[in-house]
Amino acid sequence: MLISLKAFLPELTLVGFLAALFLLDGFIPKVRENRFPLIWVMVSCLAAAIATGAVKNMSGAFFSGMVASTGLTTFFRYFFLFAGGATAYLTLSSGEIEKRGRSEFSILLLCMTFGLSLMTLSNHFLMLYIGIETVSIISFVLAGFARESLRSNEASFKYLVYGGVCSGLMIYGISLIYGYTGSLAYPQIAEALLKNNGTHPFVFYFALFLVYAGFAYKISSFPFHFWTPDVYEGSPTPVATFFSVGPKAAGIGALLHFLMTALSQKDANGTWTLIQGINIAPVLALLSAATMVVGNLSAVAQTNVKRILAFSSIAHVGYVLMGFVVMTPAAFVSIIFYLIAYCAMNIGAFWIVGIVADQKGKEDLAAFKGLGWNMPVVGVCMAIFLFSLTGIPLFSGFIGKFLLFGALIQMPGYLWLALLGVLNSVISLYYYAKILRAIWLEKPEGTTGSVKLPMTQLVGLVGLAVPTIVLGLFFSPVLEMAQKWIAQ
Amino acid sequence: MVNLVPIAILLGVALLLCIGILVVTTLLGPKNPVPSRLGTYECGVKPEGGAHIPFKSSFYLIAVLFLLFDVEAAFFLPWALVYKESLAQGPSLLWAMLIYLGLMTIGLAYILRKKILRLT
Repeated sequence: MLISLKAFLPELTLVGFLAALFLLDGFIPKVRENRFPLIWVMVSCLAAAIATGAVKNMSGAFFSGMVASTGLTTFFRYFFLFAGGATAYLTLSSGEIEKRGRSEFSILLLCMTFGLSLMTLSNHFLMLYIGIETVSIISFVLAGFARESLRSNEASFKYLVYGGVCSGLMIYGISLIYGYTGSLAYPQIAEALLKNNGTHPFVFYFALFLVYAGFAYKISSFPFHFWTPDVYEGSPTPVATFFSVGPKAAGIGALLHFLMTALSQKDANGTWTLIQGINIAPVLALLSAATMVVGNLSAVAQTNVKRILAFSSIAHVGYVLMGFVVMTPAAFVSIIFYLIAYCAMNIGAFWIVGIVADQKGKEDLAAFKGLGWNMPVVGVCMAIFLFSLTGIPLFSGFIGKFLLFGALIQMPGYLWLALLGVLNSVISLYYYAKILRAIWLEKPEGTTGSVKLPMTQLVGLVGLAVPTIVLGLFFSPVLEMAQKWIAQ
Repeated sequence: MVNLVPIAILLGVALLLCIGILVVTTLLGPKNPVPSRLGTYECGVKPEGGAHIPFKSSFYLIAVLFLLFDVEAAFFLPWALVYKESLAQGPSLLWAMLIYLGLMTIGLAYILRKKILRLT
């Protein structure tokens, strides 16, 4: 028990800070008048990150097998804490979260970060479901955080309906898997699958597809992606920023852990092979292809920049799913690298949309006209983020895609998927370039004077743009770290 | 492959029943659309006023809070069942429950402090 609690220290830290924030907000009403709650979120994320560093060598299953901590969970813990802290930081200067709601926003943000950790830690379907629901329910509230905005309410409602349906599908799939294997814990499921040896494939694949519905909804992969553009467009931009990074990575992390422990076996030389009789690689390849194509083609016709980025985030999930097709350590390393790169560039791009929306009151392409001439730093940073999202060399997005495609073509028979990925990158260049054209090549509407950027935004944007470039040139330390996380 | 024939038969019967009832009622049912029949049925009394009337949202909050604390309290039951046996291995289960109770109390304190339960 005590050792379990120790391994759970980062999450306990978050809960402690969360409870303290509740009390502070309840008993000292002055707390919500300034930026204190948001700074509190950053401090607690920092404290939890230190705690993560302290327990990073404790791997194994804890709480009677409910959660398992591995090298991967260490990475994802850092990832979520960074995403949570960064979201709090960019909310500091955002006008979309009303000032009197800052306390509630901070509480929900912290609680969601906790839920994200729980999702990737789960080693048992019940825990996974609790994690997903923790994240989902808070997401519904956060999506509707701008209470006076009709769009925000619509986003919240659509998210709620979609979330309800998908979590219902998932829990039905979980019940079928329980009936098929007799257990909800991942290791026991793997044992039972080994014994069953592929009998009743229909039942099993049907259950697996239903379980995938829950994951797919969280990462917005193809058949369950329809909520993404509407929800991102409607929610306040800081919230959309967090949605596009946090829950997505958590879904990917949980899916990774599920595939690695419940459906495959690790052999002596450190690679994972799917248990005999399970053949899901072709389906995953099709899902990846469909996600990429749907995301990219839908983005082409959009004029709202937030919607464009929402569709592009769907497409990026498609790229990441490529790594799931192969399931080699190299593929997992590239997934980790891709997530790191995606985190920096996507938070940056969404942030700039938020800055523009704050100033102009809208976020369509017209609002971006001449942005580069009014706010040069923002324009340059946006160019860096968008080039990186496209996957142009010299930027981190290129290395991420290169690694993913490279891992994929090691596996015979999936060259078509890699080629489709390259083709999709070309399509994505079109709509990213559309934004850049508005920023740099068109004349600003109305006022032309340069706008001074607050210091917090300047520091934050440059802080995200620098790693985007540095990781594109000097990436081997991150890869080595990722290899260490995978091997642990 | 499992024998899916019984399930298929069940599905077929259910589908036929649904379609059948719909078809039969539209064919055989008498059609007599007088205005009073098309109105809202409200326990046989003539409906009055609109359905979209404002009601106090604090009732809704109280209902949600009741649900929350009810479910949370339900966790004590299985805990009490295994508590005696686990005491033999040390008091860790007691501490777990105390932590849980503490978190709940913080929530309750927050609610009371925010005056959510006050109806006036």
